This record gives sequence, structure tokens and C-alpha cells, in this order.
Amino acid sequence: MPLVLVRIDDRLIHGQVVEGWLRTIHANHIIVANDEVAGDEMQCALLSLATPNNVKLSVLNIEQTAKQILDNTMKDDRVLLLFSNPVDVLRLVEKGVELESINVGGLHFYEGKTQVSKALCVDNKDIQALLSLGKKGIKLEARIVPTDERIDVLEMLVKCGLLE
Amino acid sequence: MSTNKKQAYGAFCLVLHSHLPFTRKAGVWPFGEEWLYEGLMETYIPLLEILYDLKKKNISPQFTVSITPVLMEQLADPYLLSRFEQFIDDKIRRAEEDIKRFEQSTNHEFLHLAKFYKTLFSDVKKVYFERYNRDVLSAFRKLQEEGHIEIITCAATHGYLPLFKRDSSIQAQLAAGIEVYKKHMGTAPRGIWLPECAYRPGYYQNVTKNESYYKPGIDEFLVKNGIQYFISDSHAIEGGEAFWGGKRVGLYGEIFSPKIDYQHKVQGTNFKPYLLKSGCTVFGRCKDTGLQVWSGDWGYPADGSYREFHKRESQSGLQYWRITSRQVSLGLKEVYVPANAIPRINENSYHFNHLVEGLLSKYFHEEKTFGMVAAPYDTELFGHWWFEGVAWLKAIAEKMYYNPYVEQMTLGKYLEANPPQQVIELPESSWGEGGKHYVWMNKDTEWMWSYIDEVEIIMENLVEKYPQPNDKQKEVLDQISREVLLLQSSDWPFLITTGQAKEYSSERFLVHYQRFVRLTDYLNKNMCHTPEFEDYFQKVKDIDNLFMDSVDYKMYKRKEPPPLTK
Repeated sequence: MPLVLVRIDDRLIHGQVVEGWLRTIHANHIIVANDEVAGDEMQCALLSLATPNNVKLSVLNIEQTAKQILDNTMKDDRVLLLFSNPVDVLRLVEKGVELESINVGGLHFYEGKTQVSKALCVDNKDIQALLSLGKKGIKLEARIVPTDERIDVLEMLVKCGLLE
Repeated sequence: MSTNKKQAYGAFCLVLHSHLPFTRKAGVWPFGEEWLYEGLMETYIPLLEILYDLKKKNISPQFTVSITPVLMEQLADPYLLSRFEQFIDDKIRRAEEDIKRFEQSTNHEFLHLAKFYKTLFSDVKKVYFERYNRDVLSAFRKLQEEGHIEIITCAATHGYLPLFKRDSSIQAQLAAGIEVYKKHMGTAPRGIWLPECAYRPGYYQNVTKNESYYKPGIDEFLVKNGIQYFISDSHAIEGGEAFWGGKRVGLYGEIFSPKIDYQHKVQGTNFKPYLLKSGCTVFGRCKDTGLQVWSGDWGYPADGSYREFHKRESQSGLQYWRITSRQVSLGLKEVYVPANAIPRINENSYHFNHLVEGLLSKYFHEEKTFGMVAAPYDTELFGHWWFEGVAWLKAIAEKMYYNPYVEQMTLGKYLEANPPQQVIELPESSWGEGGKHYVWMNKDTEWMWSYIDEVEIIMENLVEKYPQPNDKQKEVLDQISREVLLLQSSDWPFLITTGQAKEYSSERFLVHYQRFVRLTDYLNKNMCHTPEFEDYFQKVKDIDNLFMDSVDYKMYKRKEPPPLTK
């Protein structure tokens, strides 16, 4: 299953993803990897409504996602793998999935988070997960839309004093 | 179907691709501005003459003529036109001096030729001033407006599109080229001559193990820019080995490169156009009509009665000899006799007319369809390299006009009357030797592409950095864009590979790179208000003054994800 983009975006599937990213990466299959959403029929239905007709949607928990990737099912698909937070990405990687790069697209503000950039707000759990991913050699870059500059997320966290 | 001749088997679509590199104030002879002056005197003005003569005889030639934007700008440049006028006066003077010399030496054959040249050059001068009012471009435009020819466009500076790393460069070459066309022609182009017929399909660009994105095919860019059709080389549609035409007599001489076998790629026919998935139409070059003109061994231009291009009289530089035979060395060439060339032109044009009729007839009887033969050539072959070529063009237009089985049509008119019925996928290809990109990317030229790659990225970053420049910054950014377009000309690697102007081309390439770097440096250091900068800037603008109303640096806006930073 060729992964064509791994993206962290707490709004999961929305206009920017569909109009911006899908057109560029030509993904024909979106996998939303999230334990809570996978177990919630209503949320799955809403995601399905947001997905274009010509794109397959799978909503899986982290365990199932790892299995699909490691078993190399759907090998003819071009897959956009969506997460709502960095902790889930780390869990996936710790199950043996090898990633080289992650696009950190949107982590929005709520209480307890610190704003790092226009679309990136993090708390301590996020920071630790991002740091662990970075230590595994995975490139973490922030881009809202495909043509934006790639901003190194860890460097951004250091500049904000959230990392040493 | 045919629109005029009820018995016609199909259409003959002649395509003349006109291009010269930008040479304003960048050398004269042996490399530089004189290319333009020779082109005007030997090809473009004589071509206009036959087109207007045909029109006078109520023969609408229906040629498809590509004029590259960079050539259009030069044909409209008052400085270059005044230099052309000096050039032609100089040619007349040389012929007059030869007349005096040969009168004294009693060399009757050469004397006759010197008088022939004096008349020829004087006639060109006369029509240039009196018939065309020094405005060759408007003369072409008028023919299009009256429906006798179709003018198609090209990339701005004939950039070799498939080898650009960034989509923004492809878009900028096309957008700037189309703006220049609109400026000079007053309308948008329908068709395009892709530089060197170089095409690449869409593909997925891998960035990392788990990131990739789609890079659109060249045809998708064309559709986005309102272009309906382009031309590709024969092998890209028919499959099999790429056409190489033996010793091709191009503008810059002979070149050799490895052959690529397209046997298993596609199996279409060049007797009809195809649709690509993007909605753009592609016409394929007819191999047979191509070989009949391009082959250095047995093509028409190799006829012994025709004038020899390479041998020149030592004092005047005029050409007094005929080809005689391909096996005869320059030292043994015989004197050119223009009158003896005339029956050869007649025979060659008769043969060509018969060839086209035969091809169309065969296809018509096999497929029961009104087919077409697309026959593209470099315009400069006719008149400049092949002295008798323009007369041959007139002769084939006349013969085909009277041939009930062949309809002459522009590509646009053929497309209107016969829209494509099938979809095809084209492989990456060009009409260059070997069928792909070797001529432009090889061990002698690969160094240039690292410069071009670097410049492409910097341009995108400049657009990001200066979203709302002040007037001066905008002026500088636009000039920087012009340097990029000039740097990207496919002429430079081409001339290096052919060996005809290796040093000149390397220098030109590096000069444009240097101007790009220096202007960018001034801009980024906020020094565009200094007298030192202004002095340099005015000099650069005076030399590289093309596309003044047609380039906006924002044409280089990033169209795809940025590359990964290390």
C-alpha cells in the first residue's frame, strides 16, 4: 500500500485536505487512523460525507491501520493516512510501520495548548510524541497547503522555547 | 472530412516552425545577430513573398506557421531591424564588388551569379520596405486574419519543457509565450509547437518513502493555458524506432545520438490526430514526408543542382557553388547555375505531391477515412540552408491546389472539421536525434541543468518572499524573470551538443546566469536604489529587453510542493 502522505490534522477530512491536498497527491484512498472515531458510527458517517465520491475511505483504529500497512493490502492504492494527533502516529510507528516524513498540517488551539504557529498548537503530550518521532529520523514538516514552505517542526518548537 | 474538394482522400498539413535564439547585442558574426538577419533575408521575407504571391493567384496556402515568442520579439525590435537594414545594404555592396571583380577577371559564370545576387538582395530590400513597411510580423498576422495561414505559438524562449524540474518553469514559459503571441497577433493561439516536440506525460514524483505527488503532463499545462493541440514526433504515436533522418540538416548542423526503441510503447497512426486524457489533441509527424526532405543522403535538399551552403567565396562570402554530389569535397564543387535548379524544384515538388497523394490514398482506401499528413519542418531550412526551398514550398502549394485528391489545411482547420475520435497515451519523447532528451541532456550539457534547477527554486522562493513588491522591486523581479527565461533556452545545450557554437552558447548561458545572480543579490540586499545598481540595471535591460509587457515574475509562483530541504 503506497502511502503518499502522512498528515496530522485534528480536523481530519475537510476542505483544505480535499481541495488542496488530494488534488496534488492524487490519493484515491484515505485512511483515518483513530481509535475513538473508528468506534463511532456517527463520526464515520460524517467523514464519509466529507470524502469525495471517487476516493475510498477507511476509518480504522491504530492496531488495524498498522496491520493493513504491514500486510501491504490495497497495494494498488495511493493512500493518504490521516491522524488527529502526533501520539497516534507514534503508536503506529512503534508497531513497526516505517515512515520517513510526516506533514503536520493542523493542530488547533484549545485550553492547555501553546500556539507555535498559525495552524500549530501543542501540549506536552504532542511535544513528546513529536520529539520521539524526530529521534527516529522521521522528518516533521509543517505545511497547511501543499505549496507552502516546509517548516521544520522541531526547529520551530526549539525557537519557541518548548524544546531544548 | 474535406471542406472543399469532394474527391480528396485527405488533408496535407504543412507546419513551418520558425525559431532563432535571442541574440540582441550578444555578438554578430559568426554567432549572434547575423542569424536573425540571414533568417529575414533568406527565409522569412522570401516566405512572405510566396505566401502573398499565392494569395494573389487565389491559392490559399493553408500553412501552419509557428513563430516562437522570442523570434516575434526580435522581428519587432527597431534596433535589430535597423541593423538588418545595414546588413542587407552590406550584402548588396558585396555583390556589387563581386560584379566589378568578375568583370575584370572575365569570370562569366561568377559574374552572372554576382548579378543574380545583387538583384536578389535588392528585391528583398525593396519588398521589405515597400510591401511590408519594415513590419514582417504584421505581414504574417494579416495572412492569418485573412484565413490563409494559421500561426501557432511556442514556449517563450523555446525552453526544453520536460527537463525542467519545477512545474512553475513550465507554466512561466507557456504563459509568457502566450502573452507575447497575444500582443503581436491580437488573439489567443489555438495550437502550439512544443520546443523540439518534447513531451512528457504526467507522473508521480517521490519525495520520501511515504510522500509523493502528481506532476501534470505537458498536455495538462497546455489545456490549462487554453491550447487545443500540439505536434509530436512520429515514433511517439506509431511506436517503433525513433525517426532520426540520417544526417539531418538542421540550423546547427549534424548531430548523432543513441537510438531508443519505442517498439512496445504505442501503436497508433499519424494519419489522424488523437485526444489525450487532458482533452488536448496531438498530431503526429509523418515519417515519410519528413525523411523526403530531411535526409541528408537522399532528401530533396541534397540534389546536386542545388546551391551548396557550406562553400563561400573568400572575399565576399557569397555562395557560388552547387552541391554537385554528396561525395564531392568542397574544393571540387562546381559552379551553381540557378536556371538548372528550376527543373529540379519542379520535379521534387511533383514527386512530393505524388508522395502525399499516395500516402493519403492508401490510408483512405484501407480505413475509409479522410486522413491527414502532418509535415513539420524548421522554417529556416527553406531559403537559408536549402536555398531553393522557398521556391519548392510555393511549387508544392500550387501543385496541391490543383490536385483533386489532396486538400491543404491548417492543423486548426483540420481539427475543426475532423475532431479526434480516439484517446492515446504518449510516451516521453522528442523529435531530437534518438527520440528522447539526449541532445539536451548528456555529458557535455548536464552541468547546465544543475544551474537551471537551482534558478527554478530560487525564482519560486522570490515569489514567496516578495508578495507585494514596490514598483522598483517589481521591475527588478520582472527582469530577473527574463534572465531565467533566457537561461532556459534549449538553444544553449543544443548548440553545445552539435558543437557548432559550443563556446558561444556556454558563454551566453553563463552570462544570463550571472545577470540573474547579480540582480537577485542587489534585490535581496535592498540595494536597488543605488546609482551603481541603476547603471548595471539599465545596461541589462537594454540588452535583454524582450517580453517587456508580457512577463510577470509571479508566473513563477510555486505550483507543487517545495523540494525537501536537507
